[in-house]
Amino acid sequence: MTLGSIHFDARTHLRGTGRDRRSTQSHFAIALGVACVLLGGCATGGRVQGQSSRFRAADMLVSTDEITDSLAASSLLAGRSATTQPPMRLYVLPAENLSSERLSRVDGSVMMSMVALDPRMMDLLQSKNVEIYYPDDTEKLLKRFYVDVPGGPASMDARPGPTHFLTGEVRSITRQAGQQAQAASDARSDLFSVTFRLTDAESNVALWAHDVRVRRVAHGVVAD
Amino acid sequence: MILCGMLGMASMAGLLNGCQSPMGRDAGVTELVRAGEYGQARDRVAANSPRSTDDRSYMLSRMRLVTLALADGAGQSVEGDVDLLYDNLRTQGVNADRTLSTFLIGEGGSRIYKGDPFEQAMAYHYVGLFDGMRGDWGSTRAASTNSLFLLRDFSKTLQATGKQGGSTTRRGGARGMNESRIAALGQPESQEALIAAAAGSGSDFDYTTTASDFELGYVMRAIAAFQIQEREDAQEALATLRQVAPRLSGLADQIASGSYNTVLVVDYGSGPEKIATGPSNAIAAHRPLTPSTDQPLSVNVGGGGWGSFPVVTDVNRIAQSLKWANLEEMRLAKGFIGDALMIGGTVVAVSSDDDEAQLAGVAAILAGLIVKATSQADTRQNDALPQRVYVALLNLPVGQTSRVELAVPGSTGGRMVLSYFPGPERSGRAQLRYVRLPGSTPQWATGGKVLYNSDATGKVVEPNYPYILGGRDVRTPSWEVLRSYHESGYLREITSVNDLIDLYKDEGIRLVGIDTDQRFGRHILEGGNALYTPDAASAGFVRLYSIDRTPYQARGEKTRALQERLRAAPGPTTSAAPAPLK
Repeated sequence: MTLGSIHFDARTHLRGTGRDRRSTQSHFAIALGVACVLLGGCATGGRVQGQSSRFRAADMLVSTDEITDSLAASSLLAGRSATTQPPMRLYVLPAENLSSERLSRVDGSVMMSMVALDPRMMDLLQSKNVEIYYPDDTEKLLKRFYVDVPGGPASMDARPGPTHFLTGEVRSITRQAGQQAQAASDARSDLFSVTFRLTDAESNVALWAHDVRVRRVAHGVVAD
Repeated sequence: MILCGMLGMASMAGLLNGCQSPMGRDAGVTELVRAGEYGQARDRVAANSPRSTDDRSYMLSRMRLVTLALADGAGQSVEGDVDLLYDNLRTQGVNADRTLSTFLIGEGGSRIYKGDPFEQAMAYHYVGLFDGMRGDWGSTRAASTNSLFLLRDFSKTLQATGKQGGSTTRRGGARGMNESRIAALGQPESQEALIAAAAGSGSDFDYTTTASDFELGYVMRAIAAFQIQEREDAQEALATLRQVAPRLSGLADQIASGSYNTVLVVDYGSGPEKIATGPSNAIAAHRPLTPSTDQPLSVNVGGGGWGSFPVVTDVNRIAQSLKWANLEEMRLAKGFIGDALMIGGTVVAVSSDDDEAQLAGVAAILAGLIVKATSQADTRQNDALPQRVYVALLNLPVGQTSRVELAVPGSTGGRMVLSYFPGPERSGRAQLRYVRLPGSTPQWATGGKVLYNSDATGKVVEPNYPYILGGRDVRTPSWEVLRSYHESGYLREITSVNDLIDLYKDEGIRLVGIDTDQRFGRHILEGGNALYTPDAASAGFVRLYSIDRTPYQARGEKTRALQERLRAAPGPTTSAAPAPLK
């Protein structure tokens, strides 16, 4: 039985004077109104705060041009050419997170591959007889996201060992505007500093390094 | 006609059950978890997980899945859920007091419920565990730091209302409240007093912010910070830990010493049950299922002496603490209790002999019944949480496995023998491992045997050929594994890894790491359709490999034919050298 039919039943019962009907109906309407308000309260209440610090991976933008230019000018690669032997076998490892924010395995791998798989970077490395490799799980992860990984031996067993590593280290500074924020995006931002290094696999000596600043912008809405 | 109206009201109240909490705790999951059957438990939770973000259980289900998958040693099956969970938890308000929010507004305006504050803190902890077990101590530190959000202290509100001779006189009312009285109240009573105070004053809940007392967050933050050489951050965390929990000063000293290479997080017991109580059952409270005790965790490595580690966090305590109260639920309860008072007054006012007044009174009673039917607190929860968490700091031989025994003396269950506990692969950073102790003591938990070959152990038992063919091998197919079969004298007619992989695929078996590394269910040894190796230091590993399993029932003709052939000639073939592998 719905609320509407109860109301109908009450109306058919209340065949009296017009004034009586109006008075009774007004009492009933008030009570039903209360009930409707309470029913509305079945949906949970809460107050929208309007500010958030949610991040998306796409907010992260890495400028690879300056990294490529810096690496090209490094003493490590300056003396190499396409025919230099032996080839440099460069293993690209996921970024290490030293920041105040969690970096998922996907984000860490994508961050490094955005550098290593940049067309300008790939052209540079190819021109210096540098082969790029990824750890097995990184390769699978990148393929899952339809990122083409340069060919290499299919089996890890057949893969030659690295001569060098490309690593990244992520640190962060958080800025939060608090009540002065005019919009969600003003409320909070994290400035990430990513240091890329190319190290000798045997001696672990860093042969090249470059810092990049990456800013993640907050957006989204919360309620409490 | 009045009687018809009353009957109508009664049916209306019944119809309104849809507005109430559709489910509390899943008793089936609770029993499975108690028995240590985490594989079955996660299958059950996965099958019942809501898909819509509008469902209040959406995030809670994912929390349960992550909790159970880690317990089962199958963390890789929930990587996507971990990322989603963290992203949603991390959507926090940046209001002035930086306290926690209960909802976030998702795409399209849906309200996504994030769980009670203590559930959110524990979820952060499990995200940190997930990352730490993969060697990412930096992300563990980030997750642990985020678990230390500010809490709400309502004690001054209660005291102030008592001093002013508060207007409410409900049971457990706020009059004469002092700190000791507040502390002596149980959770439902203290919440009811607070709600009554707010309802009486007509204002929102007034509180001051206070630092978190989530011990586990400080412990994991300190450990992780030390691992990434952030010593200052680590020392700060330990200093706060010593203030918040002086009983953990010894553990804090151990953390600071750095004289360990293995961090073992151990969960035990069942977390509290969320119940509806108080006036009109409008108040959500937590009732312990596993009693809180301060029994330490005893750990024995390789038959040496027993080490002892204190309880770090008692989940019963934080669930019942007013500082950790869910503000949204208290606001709702305040609203319902206030409305119930109003309607009660209306009923009194309209009760008379007059027909017209009677009908209006009936309508008022209808509204009152609606209040009662809809006011019940929502008791949905993450029912996979433990009652307590320990953190043990161990020194294990590098590059080797050890036999590790765990026990919670004087408890029901709480014992496990892990016979293939791996040490760190190399010196340097510590490794992080996690074990969920069952609430009972099933035979597999303490047997200490390994009856099947896995990726973690290699070949340790015979017959060394696939379980799906009648053997005892459940390793992931590879060239090395196939070679191992040949060297044992089996399956020499199979010369390609792809042919071996196809055998599994023909049986509908998902090969984790080969054709999937996303959400997967139970292991084939337990009647599931996934082939994977759980973390060797997990309850899932012990459960899977410690007891004899029922023989595999083949589906395909090829598999059945191979089973028959191997059954007929059980011994290894030794006549010829194995054919070269393709």
